[in-house]
Amino acid sequence: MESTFSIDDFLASGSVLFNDAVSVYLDEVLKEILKTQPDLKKKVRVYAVKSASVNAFTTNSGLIFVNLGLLSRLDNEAQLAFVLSHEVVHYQKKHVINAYVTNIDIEQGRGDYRKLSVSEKGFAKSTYSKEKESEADLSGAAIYQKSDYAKDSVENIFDILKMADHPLSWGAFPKDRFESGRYVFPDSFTTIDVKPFAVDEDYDDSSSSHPNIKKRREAVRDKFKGISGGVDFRISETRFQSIRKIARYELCRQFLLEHRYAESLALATSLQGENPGSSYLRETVAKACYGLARQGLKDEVNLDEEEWVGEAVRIFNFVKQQSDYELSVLALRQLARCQEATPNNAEISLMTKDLIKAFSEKHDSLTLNFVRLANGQPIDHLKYPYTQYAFADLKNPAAFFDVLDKNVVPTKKVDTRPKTKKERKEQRKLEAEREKVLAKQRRKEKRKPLNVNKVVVVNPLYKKIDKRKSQRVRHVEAEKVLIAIDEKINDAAGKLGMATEIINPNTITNTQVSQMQSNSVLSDWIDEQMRSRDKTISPIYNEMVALADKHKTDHFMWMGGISVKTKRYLKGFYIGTAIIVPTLTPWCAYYVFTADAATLYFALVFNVRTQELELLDVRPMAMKDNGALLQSNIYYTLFNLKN
Amino acid sequence: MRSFYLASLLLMTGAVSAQVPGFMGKRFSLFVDANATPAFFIQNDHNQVIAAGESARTYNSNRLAFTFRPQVTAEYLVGRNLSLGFSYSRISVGTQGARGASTDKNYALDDDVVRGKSLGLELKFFRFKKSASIAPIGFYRTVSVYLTQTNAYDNRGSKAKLFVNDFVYPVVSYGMGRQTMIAKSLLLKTGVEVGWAFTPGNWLREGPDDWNVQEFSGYNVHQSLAGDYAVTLHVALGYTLF
Repeated sequence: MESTFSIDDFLASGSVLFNDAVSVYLDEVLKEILKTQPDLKKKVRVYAVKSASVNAFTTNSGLIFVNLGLLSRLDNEAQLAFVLSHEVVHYQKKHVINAYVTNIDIEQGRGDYRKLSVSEKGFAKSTYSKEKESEADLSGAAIYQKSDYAKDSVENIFDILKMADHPLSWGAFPKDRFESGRYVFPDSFTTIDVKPFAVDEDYDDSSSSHPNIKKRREAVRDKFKGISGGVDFRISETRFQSIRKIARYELCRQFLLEHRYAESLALATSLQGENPGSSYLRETVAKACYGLARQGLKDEVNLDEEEWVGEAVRIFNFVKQQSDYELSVLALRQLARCQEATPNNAEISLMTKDLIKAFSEKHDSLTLNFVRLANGQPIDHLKYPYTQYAFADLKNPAAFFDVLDKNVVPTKKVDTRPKTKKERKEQRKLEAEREKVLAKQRRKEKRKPLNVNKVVVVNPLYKKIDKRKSQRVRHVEAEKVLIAIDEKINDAAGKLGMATEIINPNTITNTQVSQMQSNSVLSDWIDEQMRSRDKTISPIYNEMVALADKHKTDHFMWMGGISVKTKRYLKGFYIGTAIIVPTLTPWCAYYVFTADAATLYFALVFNVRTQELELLDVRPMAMKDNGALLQSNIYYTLFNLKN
Repeated sequence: MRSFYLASLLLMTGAVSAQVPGFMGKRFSLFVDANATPAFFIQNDHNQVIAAGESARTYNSNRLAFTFRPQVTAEYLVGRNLSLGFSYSRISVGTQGARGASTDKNYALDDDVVRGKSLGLELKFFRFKKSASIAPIGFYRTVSVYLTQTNAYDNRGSKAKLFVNDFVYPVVSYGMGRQTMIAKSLLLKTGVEVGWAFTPGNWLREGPDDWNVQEFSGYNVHQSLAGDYAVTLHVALGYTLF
């Protein structure tokens, strides 16, 4: 039951693609490999998942999920068919449920797993999992062999798995695409020895869930010995290419959302080789550079050198060699070029302004560091001289410099001359007065009513945990709360004269495609926001503004609650107290017969146009949850939005 | 003067209305409270004696027994975490005779019933920030002032006052507890309140041998009143009306 609810949560997360071109195509490939087993096909369904992870997985209810991260790396349909054959076996042989039960047995030390240490338990789980994966490989190969797909395409799938942890890119890194005129990077940025791929296939897999690549490759190779024939594409090569292209383009977005900017840059520049005029790819590159620059300004660019091999090492070097100053200039230049192509792009405009602000906060005299005309005179004494030409050859440099001049944070003038005692006293007095004024302003700002008349409530969350029971997470009880939550929100909003829209995956029906799409974008956006330590412009800002326009409000609320019941201790003490002081019996009886309970309610309301968190309502309550308590808290949150 | 107080109250509640959510906008609640005082503090076997005769009298205190002081309270949330309450309660407690005490005065064996009423004003502070919820749900603390008006009677049903003038004493109290909503708009209040009745304290220092019959009866009233307010357990049902 727990897994059913977890799957439901996953299906409602907005990451799973339903009835779209990718999932439909995946299902056709699945149908092709199971054409001799129509009964089995009826029991399994396949969906694509918006995830960069190179993976596919199956549930015990027959749902197969293939991540876009895997799909975008495949070479042909045959490889996809083998992946699906492998996953079908997991369902057919009930691997998921058996692994769940076995892992519980191992954890609780039942049967053969008695007296195992913690590390031995981990080893036992890994061994069991590897057995099942090997079985899925071999039985999957048997299913695959019955199909018309090329038998010699299978082995290449292990090369793809081998490279799963490495960024997805191909072709030479086009450094010159980022240069023009006198804005030319030092050669050291990309001149580097490109080491050939040298991934060890025979790695230690003692703690892995899968056998190592070498073992899997050899086992499958044996299975296919002497068997050949078949084709790489049964459904359609054109459709496969199209689906993979969708996956790769979506992956650029996923990398941005996961703040894997260098990987997004690598993939987008590779895709630009095939489609140099794409505005989507141009913007992806600009957004990736913006993300890297913002990380650079905080010294937070964190790339794992070991993952960047082959030609991709040039991208690693290109990013790693640049200082935060150089990365910021690069990003501003890319953003400016996007803005020239699409002057009304709000997202790019905000990123430009935000980066100028952050850049100028760290580096003084920014406005004096750039040549403003194509034939302008060089500026001396710059630490990175080539950067002065970054904006001189824009189509309309004046427009860019106008934005730069307006958004640069003025340099703080620090008076370094020695001060007298009287001057220091005067300064302290002035600072105290300034602080008083600022505090007053802050208080005023805090009191300012939000006057929100409409709010969209997104994916309400409710969890109930009872630590006294073996099944601690109380899914059924929590689901009841979630199903009734729409009514509570509408009741509270009605009392306050507010309009609401609720995007609740628990109550969305198959026909509400628009709601599901909104949920997907909103889930991506909030995940991205939660990753950001500082306020940065979201890479899907424009999508959010479009949602705000669609729902006719800028205010979106994420809310929910967690209720926890725990066992009360010292029951003997309460019983003893009641015997000694009978007057206290009612009080003691309450403590003896009830659980200790606590409830946490939270609500976050964002203005998605300004990207500000306008209301944060988090309340821990030392009481048992109930409908009225939730109703009261929802009302209070909406009350604060309205007033 | 009454108009002045009423106008002040209305002005005050109107001025703070913007910050008061209440339960779904409802700020006025009505409570019916049992107000149980443990017999541990005020023994009350007198009424049993009146009803069942001397044989019912027992000197073994029933420590699980309670005396009740039914109360009706009207509360209005004047701030996010502050409510103002007005209460009316009926007092009915028995006095304790001096049986067992070394006295040769017959009247000292006599028990009476103290009956009367009280009006109260209560300030309730909800602990919004610390482990609480949105008023009127949540943990609270109260500060109250009561004005009691009582007299002594021979028994529970008697209408003949034993004193010409009623006893009028103020009581102050401090309480704490919590309110939960057990159904929509239906509140359950549980808590404890400790109070001090400003009665003369002769009964604390003197004994029946020091008093005449009137004094004995009067000091019994004082003692009973003080005991009745000393510790009160609140179990009340409330309803948020508007």
